[in-house]
Amino acid sequence: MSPRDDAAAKRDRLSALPDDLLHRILRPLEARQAARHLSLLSRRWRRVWASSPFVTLKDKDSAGSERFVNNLLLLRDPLDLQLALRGANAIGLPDRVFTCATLEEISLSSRARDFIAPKSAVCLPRLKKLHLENVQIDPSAVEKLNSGWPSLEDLNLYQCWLGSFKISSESLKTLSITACVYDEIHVSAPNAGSLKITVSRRVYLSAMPSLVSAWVHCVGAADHLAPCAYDLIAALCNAQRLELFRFDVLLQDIVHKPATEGLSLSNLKSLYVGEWLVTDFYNALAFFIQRLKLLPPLPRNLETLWIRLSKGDDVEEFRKMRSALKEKTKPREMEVVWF
Amino acid sequence: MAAADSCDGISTSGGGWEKTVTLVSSDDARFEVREAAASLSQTVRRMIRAGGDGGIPLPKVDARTLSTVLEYCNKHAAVPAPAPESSSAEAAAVDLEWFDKELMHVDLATLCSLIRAADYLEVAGLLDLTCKTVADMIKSKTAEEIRQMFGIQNDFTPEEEEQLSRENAGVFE
Repeated sequence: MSPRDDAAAKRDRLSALPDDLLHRILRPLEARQAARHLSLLSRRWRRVWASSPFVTLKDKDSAGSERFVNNLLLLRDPLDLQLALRGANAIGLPDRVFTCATLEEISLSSRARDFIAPKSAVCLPRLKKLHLENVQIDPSAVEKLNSGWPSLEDLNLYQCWLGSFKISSESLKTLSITACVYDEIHVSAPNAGSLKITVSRRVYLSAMPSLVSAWVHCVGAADHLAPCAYDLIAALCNAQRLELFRFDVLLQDIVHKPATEGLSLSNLKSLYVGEWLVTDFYNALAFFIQRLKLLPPLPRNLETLWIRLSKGDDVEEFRKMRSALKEKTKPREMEVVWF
Repeated sequence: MAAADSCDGISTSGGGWEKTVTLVSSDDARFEVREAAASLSQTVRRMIRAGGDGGIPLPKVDARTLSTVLEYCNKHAAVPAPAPESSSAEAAAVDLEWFDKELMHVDLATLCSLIRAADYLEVAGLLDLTCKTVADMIKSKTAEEIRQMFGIQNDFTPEEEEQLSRENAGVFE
């Protein structure tokens, strides 16, 4: 029997469920439909709708979205705001979102590069998690945001347009900035345990003593990255797990800085070095070993070492490199592959 | 109490040497279940740890609902964890999806009982599944259609209703 056949049964079992379960049911439903229809079902449903801590808006047509969200937030105190804006025209994220005292999570994904440019101060005292996708952050917003999110723990920016961006937070635990366009980024997050970042222009990292795992992908040209390369490596020194992609770009500059000798990767347990763009396999090995000496010495207790190198189809060279690396680092588990 | 029950409510079944537990519904029906399956319920898992006599009492769940919950748990606990991306993992996922879909072919009263039971027993997957099933039924329906489907009584006066929809239109349209 399908659930629909039960319409005849007059006992309204759905409305009899407790509020938190009804909120759970309503969570994935579109905010517009919920406002238009669910809020009018009955007195009970009006209350359930108005007290629901979740707002989900997947807008195909962004016209009026700004007004809709503003008005909705005047009536509601949500903990969690999920916005997927799919309209063709970029809009600014409604101001009301930035002063919502109850919000703990915001997730915004946009198609038209909607922008963040709050007109007044940002006040998000309980915000823990902010995920943005394809959103542009206005330069005027950077200071406001940094002073307005004292509890932020998880910041994830994906394919965002950041200009000159700064993040300064004592509370931040997880930071991910990937596939973004920016001129420079300053990060001061002393308590962050996890870092994921695509380095395409200058990235300035302050010390990260609590860092456990880091993923760094260099895609910029060496001369863009040079001024910050040393700080970047210094900030990664405490990590237990490192995944470094195209890191050779950064190393080229580091070679000439004697100060790198003072650095030590003493906590490192797992290292993955990937996507080195070097044409000659044997030279790649020499290059790597040489840089290792100049880099903080690798610890002897390394548990896993993964390496992916390009253009290696000479088995002899591959074997030579494997044994040389193994001798050098003595990891418990090692894998070297080429692509 | 059945004689076969061990005093701590945990007995070991013969054939597979798999640990089982006995769950007791509100109407005193007894279900012997593999511990791995029963442990999908966080509530039961805690009670197993705490120990106890003569099976684990679940006073908020009747036998009919409990048997459906256990059907879900048995199926989901049985799935081994093959390497991701392997073809057998994919097949298992498709099979589970199919099973879940079939399990949700129940009347509305049962669905609501399942939501309450999944919440009380803390079976996260089943709670997600049941809530999503109801959400899918509500999705893109008008107020009147939803009222009819679930038998919801409209207790607004016509004046109130008129005023609320005017308000909504002013705020949201």
